[in-house]
Amino acid sequence: MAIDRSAGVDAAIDDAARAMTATPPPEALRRAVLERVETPAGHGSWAWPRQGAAVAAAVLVMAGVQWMFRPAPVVPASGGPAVTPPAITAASRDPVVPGGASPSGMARAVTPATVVRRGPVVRQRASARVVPASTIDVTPVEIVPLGTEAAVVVEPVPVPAAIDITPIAVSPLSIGVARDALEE
Amino acid sequence: MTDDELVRLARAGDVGAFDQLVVRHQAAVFRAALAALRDRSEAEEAAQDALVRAWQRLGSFRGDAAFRTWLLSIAWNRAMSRRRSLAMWFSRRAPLADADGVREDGDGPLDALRHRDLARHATVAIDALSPKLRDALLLAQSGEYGYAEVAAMLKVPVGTVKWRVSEARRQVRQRLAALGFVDGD
Repeated sequence: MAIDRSAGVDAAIDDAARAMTATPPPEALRRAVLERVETPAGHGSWAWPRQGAAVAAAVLVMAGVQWMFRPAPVVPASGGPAVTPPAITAASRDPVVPGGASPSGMARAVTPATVVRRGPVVRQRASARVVPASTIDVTPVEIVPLGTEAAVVVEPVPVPAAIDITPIAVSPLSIGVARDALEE
Repeated sequence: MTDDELVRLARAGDVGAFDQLVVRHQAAVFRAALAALRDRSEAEEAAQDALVRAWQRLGSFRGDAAFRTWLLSIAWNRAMSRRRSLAMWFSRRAPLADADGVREDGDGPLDALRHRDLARHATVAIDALSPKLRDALLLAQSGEYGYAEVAAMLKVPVGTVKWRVSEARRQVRQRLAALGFVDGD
């Protein structure tokens, strides 16, 4: 159903478009601009304290992050020097599938019963020298090939006595025959 | 005193001269920002940023174009930057109450009511336009800028502005026709 419009649709569109921006600028606009022009950013009385506070906050955050991820030295029980264990890698954190490797194409992840949180990352420094607590003597092991002349002795396995199995004759039995046998 | 003279003084550090330029052009700057942002407070902040930036960049104004055109380009860029920001994406809504400002002529209350209804639907249809078409229509129909100024703001040729305005009108008219609003005989 068409509705007659005396003003016309085009005029209504123009009026609507004009009204959408027909707002005078706020009184505060000129004053705010003047204030910012007369007091440029970075030169105000509060500029240095603000910048100083921002820098101090950034330094504190960086120090906190550094402290959280600091290398954790491991002290052996024998009282030897501190040794930093190797870094925990992504591979070492892979879940272990019981019963061997999983077939290819299948998910390997095993849902753990409990959630284990990863501790601080420990890294081994290249310059760290590991000094053993005491000297360990290792006896060398000699590997000699087997001689061909060596006789292989096989123990005889005792054989059990023969078992006679009498075959059982099985004949089909119908329900009628079974009923007759019961009645007799 | 002309804009060029005020600009010359302002470039020499005369804040009062720049203040005069602000008085002259703040309405145009604010309306451009409002056309882009459709929100008064956002438009005020964008206009303020644009005027301050213009002061800071007066040294780069070569005078190839009119100061007003240069200023409007800065204002439009600031408004576009704000419109693209994520915060604006969530907060920007088109205030439909603006349609109340549409003139109400007619013979009686019923005509006024019908016209308000048409104006409200026209506002909704304009808001539903694509940003390119809506920007062109709002700037061109604001009565504040000529096609050349709109073209400079949008960085497109004048012919493109005219086409966008025409296409915007066609689409709005089409939407209104679907609601039963057609020109009377």
